[in-house]
Amino acid sequence: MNMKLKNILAGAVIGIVAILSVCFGNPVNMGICSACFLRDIAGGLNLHHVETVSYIRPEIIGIILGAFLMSYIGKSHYSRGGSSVITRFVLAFIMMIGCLVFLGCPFRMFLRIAGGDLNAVIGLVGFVVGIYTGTIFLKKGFSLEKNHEQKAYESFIMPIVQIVLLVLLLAAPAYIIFASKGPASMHAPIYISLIGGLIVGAVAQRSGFCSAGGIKNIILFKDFTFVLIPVSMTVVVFVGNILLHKFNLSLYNQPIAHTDALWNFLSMCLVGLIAVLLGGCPMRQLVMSGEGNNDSSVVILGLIAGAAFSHNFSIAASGEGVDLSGKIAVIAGFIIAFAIALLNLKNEKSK
Amino acid sequence: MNIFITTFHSHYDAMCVYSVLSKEDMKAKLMPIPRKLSSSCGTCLRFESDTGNEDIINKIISTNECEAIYIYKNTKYELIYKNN
Repeated sequence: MNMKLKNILAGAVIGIVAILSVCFGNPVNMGICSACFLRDIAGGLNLHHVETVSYIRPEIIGIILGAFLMSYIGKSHYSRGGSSVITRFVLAFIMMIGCLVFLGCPFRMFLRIAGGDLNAVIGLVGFVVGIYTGTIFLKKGFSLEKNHEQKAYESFIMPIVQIVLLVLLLAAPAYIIFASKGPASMHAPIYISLIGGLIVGAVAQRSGFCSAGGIKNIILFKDFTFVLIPVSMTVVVFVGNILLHKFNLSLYNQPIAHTDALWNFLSMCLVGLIAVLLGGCPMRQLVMSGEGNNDSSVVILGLIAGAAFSHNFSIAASGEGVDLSGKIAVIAGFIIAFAIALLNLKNEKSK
Repeated sequence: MNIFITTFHSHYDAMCVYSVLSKEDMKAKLMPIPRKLSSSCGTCLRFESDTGNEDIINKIISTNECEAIYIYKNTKYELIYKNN
């Protein structure tokens, strides 16, 4: 089958899962969101104390396990890592701050656009600018350290952690927090969420879904092949929202969103920049972790730490807007990201 | 005409080798790595050659920038060089 057609189909399947997740109980315009759901898991594990965003989201478990199973069956699962570990952790930490100031990862940004949220269109402009900035660093010689083959068991750690999370979710011991109100209280039944996650993980692994990668390929190579996946997903979710009467073309009264244009722009600009430096958006990192990429597993830990920090220190935005602490954190994030990018430029002298 | 795919650790490495081949008037282009070769969102170099393959491949290897070189045959990629 033609690659472009495959990608359109992959995006359509992911879009159908996203819209069905909303039908079964997930928040509107948040069928699946890597950043929000990792943040919910951080809350569920008591790493932050905002109960309204605390729940062990089965979609995350499903995405990692789906990518793991698909890569294992397809013989593309192999253990590698050890590339600039602490740098990746820091970049992931900052990327999560950007996501939570915007209120969503790039995946949710496309879902918000499909729901008519014009704030997300501003976010998309920022995201593209961030990716463009990242490609400038790539052309100037940016790269993190080379990864290398690692012991096979290491590639199974993250999938096993997902099984443990699933057990905790099902057993629901008292020390695991489950929201009784707010966004995290809105969720599909566990088995539906898990199946949805497994499908998204498997399809994303096969197709190479990345919210940032497709745009980066247009900028660097004028290659439109991979951007077809998020575009197709957005179109399918848009049609689904129309059919479900959930489409609302406006800047205002959007679910779990704020209208602060400057910070919607800047936060997603930061996310786009870091997605290029890390070699993938949060969703792609989840998938690569399932494939045995231990560097991506470190990124996920950085995202969870960033989420916990953001909520413990009021950095995350709310429907009312962005607090001063959130604005300071985004600016600090840019400074750190630029410093890391500059410190990892490969020049002729280093060859 | 043979089609070759060269993979790299970074986009910059790919650019360096691309500039070397461009000086040789080789028909080459930078593109995303095919999914069959890697799940990374990295950059590869595609070039075509019918004569003097070994010279060109040795020239690429001598830059010490590439990770691997594949030849594309019958819709499959065959590994012909890997930089350890």
